[in-house]
Amino acid sequence: MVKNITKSFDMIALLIAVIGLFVASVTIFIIIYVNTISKRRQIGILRAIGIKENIIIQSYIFQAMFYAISGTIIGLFIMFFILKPWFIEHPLKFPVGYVSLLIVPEKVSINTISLIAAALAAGLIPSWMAVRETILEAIWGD
Amino acid sequence: MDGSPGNDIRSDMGRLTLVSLENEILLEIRNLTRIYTMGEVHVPALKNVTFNIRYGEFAAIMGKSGSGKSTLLHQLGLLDIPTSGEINIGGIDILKLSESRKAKFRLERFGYVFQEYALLPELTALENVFLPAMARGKKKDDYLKTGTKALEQVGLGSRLHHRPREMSGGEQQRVAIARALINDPDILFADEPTANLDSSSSRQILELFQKLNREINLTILMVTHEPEDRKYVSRVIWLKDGELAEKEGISGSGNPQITKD
Repeated sequence: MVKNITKSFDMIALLIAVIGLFVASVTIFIIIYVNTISKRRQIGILRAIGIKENIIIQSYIFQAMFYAISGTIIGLFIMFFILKPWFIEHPLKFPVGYVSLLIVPEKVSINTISLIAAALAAGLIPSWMAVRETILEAIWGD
Repeated sequence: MDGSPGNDIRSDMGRLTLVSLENEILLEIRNLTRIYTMGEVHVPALKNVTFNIRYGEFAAIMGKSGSGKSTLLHQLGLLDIPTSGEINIGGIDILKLSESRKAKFRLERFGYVFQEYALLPELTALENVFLPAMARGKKKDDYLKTGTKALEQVGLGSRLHHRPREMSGGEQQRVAIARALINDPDILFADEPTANLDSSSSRQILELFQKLNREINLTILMVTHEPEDRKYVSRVIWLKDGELAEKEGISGSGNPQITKD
């Protein structure tokens, strides 16, 4: 019975991790996309004066990375310094006994790497789309 | 920025050459054609335009609205891709370069001044100016020094740390000129640089162009629709319906003369 409950919790944790990753990457994508649209003219100006496209793309990837790394640090802080101590103090009461929060470092690492990879794509795709536009279209919206 | 007209050391896509620049052809434009396609309709904006620009020229491209002035400037400045034709610099047809080489060309050899200033609002005047030098990989000390010098050259030495919104239109345009000068360009392209300015600021900008042309032998190609701007330039290139019309040169003193390449 304990094994079944553990398995169920693992599945719930996996589902939450996948949904969380999806929401985080879509959010980062939307932020970067809106940013590239609102800075369309600036991107055109930068390209016109000779700034290479890869420098512009890199700046948006850095921005996406900043959001992902900041989110990861805040999430780890909440998990290690708020949720874990709270669950140790207030474990959930189940028919089989008390249930507390177990943090598996390997799973945390996998989720962190997945988020970084998703943020990389979420920063790359909209910025790559933005620099595909012609310089004149970007500056004057032709 | 080299202040010695006549001779200069120029980097020709990596090759350093000492050349005499006086009366040398800088830009050779051959049969430049730009046709815009709008659905089934083909609109020729430029038709077989052929002319040369020499080092040290301050030339104005003039013509009626819709004559193809800005279109021509965009082709020469590598901001657009012509339908056919050639633009040669030092024997290189720059239209055949890859996009990244074109970007390098724009960064290292061209300067741009746009009608709407085109400054980045989040950056200060100095940051806007040194951005192209930073992108070129210059050291921080170098780009801060040359950026400050370029702003002093356009009379904005006291406005280094002001953002564009804190400056007048004329001052913003002078920041744009300083930005165009930072990488010591071969040619400065100006697309109706005074169109958004009052007459006093316009005069200051045109006098600044004239000063840069005379003092550092900067080659300038400017699109303008103001007839009175002719007195500042050494040559006028007339466009009519996308074609080169009769060429009329105007000397710096304002005396008109017909010229031929």
